[in-house]
Amino acid sequence: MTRLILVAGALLAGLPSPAVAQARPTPARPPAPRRIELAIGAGFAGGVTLGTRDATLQSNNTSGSPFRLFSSDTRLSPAAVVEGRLGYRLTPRLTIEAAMTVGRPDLMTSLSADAENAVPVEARETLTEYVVAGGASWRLLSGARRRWTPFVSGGAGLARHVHEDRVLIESGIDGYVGGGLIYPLGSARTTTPRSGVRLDARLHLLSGGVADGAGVSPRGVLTGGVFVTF
Amino acid sequence: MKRHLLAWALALVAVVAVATPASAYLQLSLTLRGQVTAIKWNQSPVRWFSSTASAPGVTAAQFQSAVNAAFGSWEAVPTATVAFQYAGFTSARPADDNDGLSVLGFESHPDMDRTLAATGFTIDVVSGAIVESDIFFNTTFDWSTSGAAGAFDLQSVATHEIGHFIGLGHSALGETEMQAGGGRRVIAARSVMFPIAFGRGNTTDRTLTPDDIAGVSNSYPAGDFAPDTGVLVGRVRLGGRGVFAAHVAAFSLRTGDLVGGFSLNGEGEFAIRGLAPGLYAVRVEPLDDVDTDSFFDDPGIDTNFRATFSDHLVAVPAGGSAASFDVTVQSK
Repeated sequence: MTRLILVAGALLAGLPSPAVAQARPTPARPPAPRRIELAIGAGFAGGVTLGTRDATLQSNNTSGSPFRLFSSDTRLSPAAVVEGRLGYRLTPRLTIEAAMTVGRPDLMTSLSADAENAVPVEARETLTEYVVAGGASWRLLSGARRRWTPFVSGGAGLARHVHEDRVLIESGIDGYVGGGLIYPLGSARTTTPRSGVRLDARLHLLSGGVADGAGVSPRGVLTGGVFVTF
Repeated sequence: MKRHLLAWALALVAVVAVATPASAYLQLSLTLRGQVTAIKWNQSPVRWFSSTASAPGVTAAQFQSAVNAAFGSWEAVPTATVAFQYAGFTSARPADDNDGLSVLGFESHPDMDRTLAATGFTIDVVSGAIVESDIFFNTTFDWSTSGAAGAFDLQSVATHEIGHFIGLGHSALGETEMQAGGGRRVIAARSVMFPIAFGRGNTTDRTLTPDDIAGVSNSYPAGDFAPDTGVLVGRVRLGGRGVFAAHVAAFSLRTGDLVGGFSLNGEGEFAIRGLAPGLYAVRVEPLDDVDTDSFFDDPGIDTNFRATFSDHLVAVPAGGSAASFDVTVQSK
């Protein structure tokens, strides 16, 4: 009997008194995670080799073998780019993103090896390139402490190449994989930083557009920027 | 009103001095009432007769079959509407002008020892419409319908002459060299309408090239030709003045296609039509690989300049024209 009373007393003692609970301050709830991320940055897109092609005639023999009239070697020059990005954080690690990158590279073709000794030239025009892509990034570390957080990213989208005088617009597919680092600024107590710095390094694979006929053309893109979260 | 225009020796009707840029390649043109008018058939299908004449190694039936295949090459161009109808054999001769029959056949012209074949026209000089065209194939040469090594390929030469038959002039997309015995030899070419034939046994010219296809499509455009293709325009300049009759070649960086044209007035203006949309490099050269009178009935042709690349890449749109640009050439 004595044992039962002691057990009951212990149970009652373990239950909080309603009157006592109301008197204590409510524990601080963690702030709602900021899910929307807006970023702007700038950087550098590497050049793209678009291939060599000979202008050929058909030789005067029964096989009709090619006779080279001249050679061409075409490439897209390296160029500065600006980039805007909108992200939505699905989980502390996973963010889906949409980005637009704009650059104005030169499209250059070396014309040489002429059959009639025309002086070789570098023919060119300036292109305006827009890439609109959707993708995702995965942070390799969670939390928002003040430290560089690596991430990986990937996605695909549409490349639009607007030629000089806007007389011709070509479209292609642009896919990318890459990664980078995020450094949060502001409070370290939130699960998502209010702002931060983001550095991206990506490998883009361009198919179509000015690369039409050149297969899949790779190039590197490096960007850096700042972001804010809402 | 009809007037006969004899155009033997590869359609020497050619282009007279024109006041405005004409098309790529050359369309055979006349000045009618002060207007440069490209000649073409207004009727479709165009009826043609095959001569009953034969030649050593080629029967009349073989001739008809080879020529029919050549007509078929032009008719098969999807961006053009030109159509032909074989009307039967005839004892009429190609030399029988103005008989209302368009006749293709063998004839002997030993005096024309450098002419494989030639095309003549009867033109309505009011409208510029072709009302009759005849083609002879010179039996001074050996012919074959099988590509035999020792003879000229009938279908290849017929494909070239039928280009004239429908109103196309010559293309200059080719390179030649002078021969010791006189005349020129083709080193290479990229157009059936190049004025000098490949050698015996060569069947290359059975197949139309992008230059030929642009030419026939521009003369007889199918409905989607104009909206699906574009125009490259510019000027060839030398020392601040225009160059007349410079050969301009547009090279597609995407496909490798070559389409040729000419500067056709004193300002050196050119317009190459029928180009697939895309980016083009441009090369200009003097018309010095061929006899210029098989292209232009004009003494003012300037060939004293060096082959030159434009330093400008040209984006050609669909259904429109690229911005005009200048190519400055230097004297030799």
